[in-house]
Formats: sequence, structure tokens, C-alpha cells
Amino acid sequence: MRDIVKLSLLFIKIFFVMAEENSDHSTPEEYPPKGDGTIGNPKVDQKVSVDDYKPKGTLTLALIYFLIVVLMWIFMYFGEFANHGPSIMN
Amino acid sequence: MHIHKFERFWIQLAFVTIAFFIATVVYGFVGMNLKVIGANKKVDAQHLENTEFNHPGVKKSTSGVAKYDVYVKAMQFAYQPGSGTPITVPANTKITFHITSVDVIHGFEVVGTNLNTMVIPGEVSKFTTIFPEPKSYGVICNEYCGPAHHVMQGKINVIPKSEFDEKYLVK
Repeated sequence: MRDIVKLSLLFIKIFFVMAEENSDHSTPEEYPPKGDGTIGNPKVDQKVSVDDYKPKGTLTLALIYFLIVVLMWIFMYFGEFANHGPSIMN
Repeated sequence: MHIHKFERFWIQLAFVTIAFFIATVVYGFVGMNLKVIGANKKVDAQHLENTEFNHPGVKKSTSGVAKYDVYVKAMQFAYQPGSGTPITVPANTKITFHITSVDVIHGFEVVGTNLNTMVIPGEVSKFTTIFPEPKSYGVICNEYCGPAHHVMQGKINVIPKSEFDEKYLVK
């Protein structure tokens, strides 16, 4: 029982250490506020309009999902159902 | 309202997909002749003596839709015919099934095929089909109908057209 408690505390400690390491240390001193009042790394940040933003990965994923749905439908309707005769014809 | 062009694309794609699904079902119905059970004829489940169900079995069709009519009575826990004596029909021939129940709701499912209907007392479930080749099919009840529901089953023997003759018909 004590071992389990010890282990749990260790995991909690590791979690907080990792969270601390992953947190953004940027401060207003390092990256001074931009004109619009936001804070960010000027080397990384770039302003794009809505139409210039192209989420190609999301589009690819959406297309893959559509393809899976369509292929599964074709298999289910024509393979599993229509090819499962004799069927009712009247 | 401004919609991003990618977003507009997948909204349109979703509608196209739905249209495609509907189109396949319409094609199945019209092009592949995959029909469903339609509106049913009413009968008096307590007084089937005056109907074709008085002598159920395979009969020469008079309707002109199919070559033979098969009348089946479903009851707790058997099909008549089907359970005691199998239903014998010829292959490659249009057959119309007329099924009704004398007591409670039953099912009539020809196992391994798309032939499947509910059998409701007071209504005649009717469907037409063609069995393409000689084969033996099992029939099961798939609507819970009482304590021996699980043993309610029947058999359809599909025999070659040339072997089918008058002796399989009921008067």
C-alpha cells in the first residue's frame, strides 16, 4: 500500500516537472508587445488573412474520412446487401 | 457570412455524399430490382377457413405476377407448411409468398438471403422472388413469439424446374 502511494506521488511529481518544462516562458521583456497588443515570438509569428490560411492536413484527413465512409457504404450496400440474394423483387 | 473555401468544400462534399447514398438506394430499387415488403392485405386471423390459407401450400398462381403462390400459416411454434413438411418450389421460377399468422407476431426469414418479413396476425405479408438454383434453405422466426420461439423453424427445398410437378401442389 505504501509503495503504491509512493509511486503515485512520484508520478504526480514527474507530471508537474514535465508541465513546468513544457510551459511557455516567454515574457513581455523577451518579446515586447506588438502593435495590436498581443505577445508572441516575432520569428515564428506571421499574420495571415482567413483565406490565406490553408489547413491542408485537416483537408487531407477529411478526404480520407469521406473516402472510408463511401467505400464502406459501397461494400455494405452492393457487397453485403445486394449480393446476398435471392431478394424480394415485388 | 464569410466561409473559408476549404470549409465550403467539405460542406458541399457532405451533401454530395448524402446524394450519393440516396442515389445508390434508388439505383438498387429501380436498376437492380431490390424491392421491399409493401402494404399488406388484411384477413381475419380467427377465420382463415374462407381464405387461401385454409389449405396452405404451393399453388398455381392466378394473379399472373408469379408462376406459383405459396401460402404459409405461421403459428406458435411452426410454419404450415415448412416445419412439418418442407415447402418445395422450383428453381428459376417466379414465386410469390403469402404469409399470415394465426396467433401472435412472427418473423419469416429465409436464412442467408434478403427474404425476410414480419408476419402479423390479420395481415398477409406478400413478396415475390426467384430462387436461382436448386438448394435447401432454412427458415427461422426472428420475432420473439413465446417460450419455444427458439425452435420455430422451417425449410424450403428448391428443386430443379424439370423435377417440379403436380404432386408438390395443393388443391
